[in-house]
Amino acid sequence: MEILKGIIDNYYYMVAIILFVIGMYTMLTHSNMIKKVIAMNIMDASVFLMFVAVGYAHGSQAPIIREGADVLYANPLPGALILTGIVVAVSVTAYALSLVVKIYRYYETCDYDEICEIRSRE
Amino acid sequence: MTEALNVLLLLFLIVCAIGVAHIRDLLSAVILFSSFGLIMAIIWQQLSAPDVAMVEAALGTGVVTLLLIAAIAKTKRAE
Amino acid sequence: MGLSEHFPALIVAVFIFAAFLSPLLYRWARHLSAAYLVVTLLAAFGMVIALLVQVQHSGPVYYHMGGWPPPWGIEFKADALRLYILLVVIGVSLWVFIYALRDLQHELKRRVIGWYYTLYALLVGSMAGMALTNDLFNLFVLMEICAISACAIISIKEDRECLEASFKYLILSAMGTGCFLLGVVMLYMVTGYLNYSFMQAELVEAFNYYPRNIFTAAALFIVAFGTKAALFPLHVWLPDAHASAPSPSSAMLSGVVIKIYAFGLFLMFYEVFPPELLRTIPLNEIVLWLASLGAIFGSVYAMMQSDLKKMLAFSSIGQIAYIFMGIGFNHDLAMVGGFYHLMVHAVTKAMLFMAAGVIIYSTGIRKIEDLAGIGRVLPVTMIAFSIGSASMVGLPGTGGLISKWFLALSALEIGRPVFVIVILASSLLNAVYYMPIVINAFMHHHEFGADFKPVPRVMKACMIAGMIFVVVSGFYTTPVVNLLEQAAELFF
Repeated sequence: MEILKGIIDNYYYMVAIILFVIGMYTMLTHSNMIKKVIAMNIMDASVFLMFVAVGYAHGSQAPIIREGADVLYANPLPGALILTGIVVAVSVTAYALSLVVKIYRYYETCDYDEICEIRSRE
Repeated sequence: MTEALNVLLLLFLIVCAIGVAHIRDLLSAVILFSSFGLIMAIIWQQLSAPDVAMVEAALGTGVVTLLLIAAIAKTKRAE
Repeated sequence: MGLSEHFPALIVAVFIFAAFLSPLLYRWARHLSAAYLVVTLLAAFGMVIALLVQVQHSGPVYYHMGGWPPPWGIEFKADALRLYILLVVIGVSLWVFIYALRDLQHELKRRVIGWYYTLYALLVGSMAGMALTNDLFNLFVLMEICAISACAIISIKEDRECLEASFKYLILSAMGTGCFLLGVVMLYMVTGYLNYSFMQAELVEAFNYYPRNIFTAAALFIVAFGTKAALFPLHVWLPDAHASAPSPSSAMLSGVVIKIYAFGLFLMFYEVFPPELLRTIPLNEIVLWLASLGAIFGSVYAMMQSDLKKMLAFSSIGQIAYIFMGIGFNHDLAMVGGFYHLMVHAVTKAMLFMAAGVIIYSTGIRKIEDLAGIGRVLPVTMIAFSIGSASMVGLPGTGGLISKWFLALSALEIGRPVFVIVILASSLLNAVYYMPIVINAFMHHHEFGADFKPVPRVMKACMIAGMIFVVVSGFYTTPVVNLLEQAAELFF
């Protein structure tokens, strides 16, 4: 019962972990390279979701200071870090896709298993 | 009420992620991924991080989707 | 004081400047661009030495980025151990870069060489930052920069093996950074800090309340750093990536890049996690056994290779295991041995890849069985290769013996002689695949065709410098061992 309560209380973290596992599993096992890149983005986004959820306290508001108002603010630090993280993830994606396009020019396929087959035949 | 909305959105995230893994057509996978990104942006807005939500909507969804579509245009659409 | 106060930040900043300026300079004046990067590397080397003198004199130097104090701002920490790693990283980079100046002209298209300088500067800068930083999120960003630039100096060659290998590397290192960031979230959740020192202080108490978070984070960190440093079962990307890259890139990747992640794991174990963690869960045992398996299996795989560079790449898996052993023993002598091996292997493996690069440059041979008799045509190269092989095996008179000696001593001291057997067995296996190449190269007679190109003087000079260093590190060990022993006192 306690475990179930823990899961319900922390549903953001649970969803983030589920997404992380789905993303990682797809990234490592799927043979299509573009699918791998999409899954990499899902994996990254799930970690970012978890990071932002850490900064949120129940009922807290966006960290924009209003004079005189007595409200609970969310922790702005995770947000600031995640901005960096998103930019890094986008640049990795751009680089990975450029590699996919270049690989396609040589092998005429985006499928990693087929590429391994072509290479082992040589 | 907002709790229920959040849970619904989170469930939708999982559905999108599984859909991306299973769908055969790459362009549909990209569309599913971009909806994943938009829902993620809404969730971040719900978590009081509007700055992150804006960046995710613009970069994580907009730019990445463009890049993916450009890459698919230069390669093959079917898996 | 003045400028010297800012040395910790400048060591990283000069490389980022160089990354932007060198391709621009390359458009107008090609030689100036290369000279600029050499000057940058020399300046960084000088700054590290100046800092080391200061640290030996008056203790660790802390640098706060932008003047923000630690829990909020990013902190750089320069202590003797980190500066030692920096000396290895920047010294080897400088040496490999001088070699690269000549070698790249035949391996790359002329128009991309300027971009290669950019990637090289980013790679060295990010590694310097990873050694210096005292902040987990900063480490994540630097890891990503390092991963992209390390993949890019492989794929810049643009042939099919390189592209495929660097895609595999990119995907697996994305998995590594994903795991790392998840681990950081787990720790941030229970502490609220990202700074190593603050986090460790907080984790000591948090360990009583949230042990599961900390266990998960530890597991994720082992996977993350293990993937990036090619710890045994996670090494699958390494052979392709290091074998297909241009020779200077292979020298950098095998020589320095994987080491910096091993050092990262060391910092996580001893500067981030609370000391009770290692007592509760034998994390270092896990690392130790994986490293022992790696030391044996890396050598076994290397024996089966027919391609020279692939063999050297598999040998790296066996050799990085010694550094992980140094971390895993949890003992001061082992730490000295592991970090001594970090330096020796960085120089030796870079030299071996240089020798392989020279062989490919002047004869075009990549297969091991075609190397018979090559010692008569390329004497300097093959002498360098022989000395490098001797150091890999751990023959007396080379640096390789010293590190294995320290590791074996510490295995005996903590009463686990089984690891002495592992070290001996893996040395023997190393001998099995290195020595036949050396013997065949000098004993056989073979005529090489007309397409033989003479070795450029710069490449020869680089290999001679490497040879001298490997031999000197086998005899004159006192300054480095003293420095490492002092550093080890802080941890054990």
